Amino acid sequence: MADTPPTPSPLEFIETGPDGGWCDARTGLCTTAAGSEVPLPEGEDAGPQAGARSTPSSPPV
Amino acid sequence: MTSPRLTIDVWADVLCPWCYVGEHRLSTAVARSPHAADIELKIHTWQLDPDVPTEISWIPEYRVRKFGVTPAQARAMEREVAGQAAADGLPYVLDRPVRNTLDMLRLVHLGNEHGVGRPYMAAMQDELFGGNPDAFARDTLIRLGVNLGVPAGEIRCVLATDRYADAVRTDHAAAVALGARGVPFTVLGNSFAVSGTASLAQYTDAIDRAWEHTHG
Repeated sequence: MADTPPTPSPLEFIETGPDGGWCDARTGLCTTAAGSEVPLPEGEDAGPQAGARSTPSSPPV
Repeated sequence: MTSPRLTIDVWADVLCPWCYVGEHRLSTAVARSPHAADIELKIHTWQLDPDVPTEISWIPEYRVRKFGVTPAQARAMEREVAGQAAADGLPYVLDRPVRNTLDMLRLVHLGNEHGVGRPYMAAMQDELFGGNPDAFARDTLIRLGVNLGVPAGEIRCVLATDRYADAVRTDHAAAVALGARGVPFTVLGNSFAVSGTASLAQYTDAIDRAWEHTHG
């Protein structure tokens, strides 16, 4: 039996703390929530999320 | 088997280091929950980078090529997650292979058909982050699946076709519809979401909140 993903519904996003991280689908970067992210070379446009250090707490607008 | 009273849906990719760390933390939190017997963990796939070549390369050089960083920076990108993995008692090899994960993710869907999709992905991650240079090899994927009870013939059939490619795309679209922007992405009781890897304490708290919300 195939696993059916949950249907879209309003979700309450729970904040994550410093002991975590995530991998951004848009940039492909995997970053720690509290630690450093290796900066991209100068001139490379990685978009506004490239410097984000915390995991997102809400869905994209 | 009675119906689970709390479902936790997790989206992940095999090569995502935070998915590897998060899987172990979430599994631990579930195992320690007083409601463990009534919680079902479901794995869904999310291909983090479909552009990764199908040929094997190695993580440091892959990051140098993809992000244009120096080899030292590429290693620095790994060290922090490696540190957290080590703190959790997980092996984490920096010089590990990387290749496109679509075949692996399709096999996770095959595993789901046999009720072992989540342990199948976890086994793949253990091989990869544990440093097996043949983590992506066909024989490795067959061995891991067979160990979980997936018939070798079915694994070979999936690898020889594009079976479950649609399922990978469907899973991805479902996560996006729920607000996911990356992985791991965890939905508890269809009410709460954790975007990224949380600490063990936060997963424990999230499970408690979802349980309370569901069972009031």
